[in-house]
Amino acid sequence: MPSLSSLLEPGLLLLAAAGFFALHCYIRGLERL
Amino acid sequence: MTIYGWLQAIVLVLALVPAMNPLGTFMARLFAGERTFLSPVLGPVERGIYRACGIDAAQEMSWSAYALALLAFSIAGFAFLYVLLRTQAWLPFNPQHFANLPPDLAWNAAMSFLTNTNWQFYSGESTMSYLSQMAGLAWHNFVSAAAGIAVAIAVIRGVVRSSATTLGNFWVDLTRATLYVLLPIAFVGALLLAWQGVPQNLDAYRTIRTLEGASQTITGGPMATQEAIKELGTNGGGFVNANSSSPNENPTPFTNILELFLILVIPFALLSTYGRMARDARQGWAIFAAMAILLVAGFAGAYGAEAAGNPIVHAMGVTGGNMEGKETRFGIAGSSLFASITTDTSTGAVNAMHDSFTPLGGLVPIVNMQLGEIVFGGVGSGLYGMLIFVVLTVFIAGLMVGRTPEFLGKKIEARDVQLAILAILVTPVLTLVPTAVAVLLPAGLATLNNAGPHGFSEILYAFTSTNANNGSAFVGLGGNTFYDVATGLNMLFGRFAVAIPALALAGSLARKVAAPAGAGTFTTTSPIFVVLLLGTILIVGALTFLPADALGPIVEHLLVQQGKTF
Repeated sequence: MPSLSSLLEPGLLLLAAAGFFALHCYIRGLERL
Repeated sequence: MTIYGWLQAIVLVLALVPAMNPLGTFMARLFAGERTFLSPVLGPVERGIYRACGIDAAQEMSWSAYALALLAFSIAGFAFLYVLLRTQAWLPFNPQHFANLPPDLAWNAAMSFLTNTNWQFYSGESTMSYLSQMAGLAWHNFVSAAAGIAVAIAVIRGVVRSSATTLGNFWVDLTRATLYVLLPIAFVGALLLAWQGVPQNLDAYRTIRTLEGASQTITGGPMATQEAIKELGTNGGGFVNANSSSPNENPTPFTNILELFLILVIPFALLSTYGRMARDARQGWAIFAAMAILLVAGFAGAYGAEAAGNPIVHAMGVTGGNMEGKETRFGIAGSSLFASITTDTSTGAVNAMHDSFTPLGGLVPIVNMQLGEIVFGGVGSGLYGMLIFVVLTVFIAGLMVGRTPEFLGKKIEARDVQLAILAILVTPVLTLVPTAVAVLLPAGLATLNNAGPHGFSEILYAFTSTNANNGSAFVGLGGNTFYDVATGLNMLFGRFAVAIPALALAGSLARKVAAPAGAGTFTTTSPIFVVLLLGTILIVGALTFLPADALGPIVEHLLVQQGKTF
């Protein structure tokens, strides 16, 4: 089983991707406002 | 307070005002695509960049295309900096053989620099290779500032254009802001700083023996070049941990004023640019007046509190102001001026430790940031943040007099106000909610250096600073994975959750047709408008942040009067 510390980097990169994707969705959402 | 202290502020303003209109006019011409005096030299470089990157400079973008380009550029910038920081040990220009940054620290630093925040959970002189400093951090210092200017220019275009569907081309605005505005001024600034003694080399640190016989390490590196853009781009991330309180970064009282000049020159000039693009210089001056009043009030508050000193120290028989955490070469006035201007302008630089300010002196930087960094603000971001407040003010004025609100002849409708409110709500929500979460979690309290209201102020300051993309720290709060992630996300959304609705608002305004001003039009250039704008800003700030501020610096001030410290 992978240790918590080994999951940190992929987790952080996923979090960054999710953050940027949320902003992308925010732009698309405001287009329809 | 002394007259000499105020003279520093007066000298700064006297230096800034003559630079304001020439630079503002230059930027108005530059972003309109007109020829400038730098075009013969930089024009071929600019066109070469467009050719190399496949940019069609004539192709304009809708607000959403502009925002998506900004986002795409930021994603690429994040990835580049993250990889650089994670691999610096294997790359050149690392004479101190610094290790790769751990993932959470690299993640936090990448978010910090791409958002123009420059919050630092590391000490640059013991963490960052010269390559990371130059190609990673300084690169972002330039382009994040240029992105802010680009968004401000796009928002101004939206305000002043009629029946338009586009706001300009993000890539063109970004290139021009970097090439014509930031690079030339930063070059001159770096030369002046190097002349004053700021190091500029690629040598390894030197270990010397002092006169007392002790061993001391003298840091070096390409500091002058980074210092110039650190201030000019309202970034603030120090080459060394002590930032502008270090003699390396800010060696003399002259460099202190020079750095403040670099911080303010573009935000000042952008108001002139706005006036010229709106074909009514008074529009820019009205906003300038509101910003200047808030700036002077902040300086007076911080200077007054620090000059008054600490009653507990006075009770020991030591008279005078509060010099704890301050450099003697800057004194109380130079430190208070630096603290108030850097927190007005979203510059994370410090030349004194804000944690050591008196409670009321420390409240001023916090309030400056809580207002949304619109007191001149970050390069570009301050102006578009203030224009959002202008729209809200016009709306409130319309409600008060019972007329349809208008801004530069354009009717402000429900969607415009919704977008303005969306942008304004970002600051309180993303400051207060994470602060509340942090004080409830063991991880949020684990790295605090102080208890009681002072400890609360340290947490409140961290989330206020990161959300406002300021980047200065109150000190006293250490980094851990919780803060790396929480402040990183806060910086990301603090930057883009304001810029995106600002662009959407600009897109909405651009489509409208401007009607000529009538007898009943509420002018946005009158003293009454300035007062109303100030009232709107202060009421929004007071309503949202006063309870939190009362729990931190305000209650600490009252307790210090009773002889209690934390």
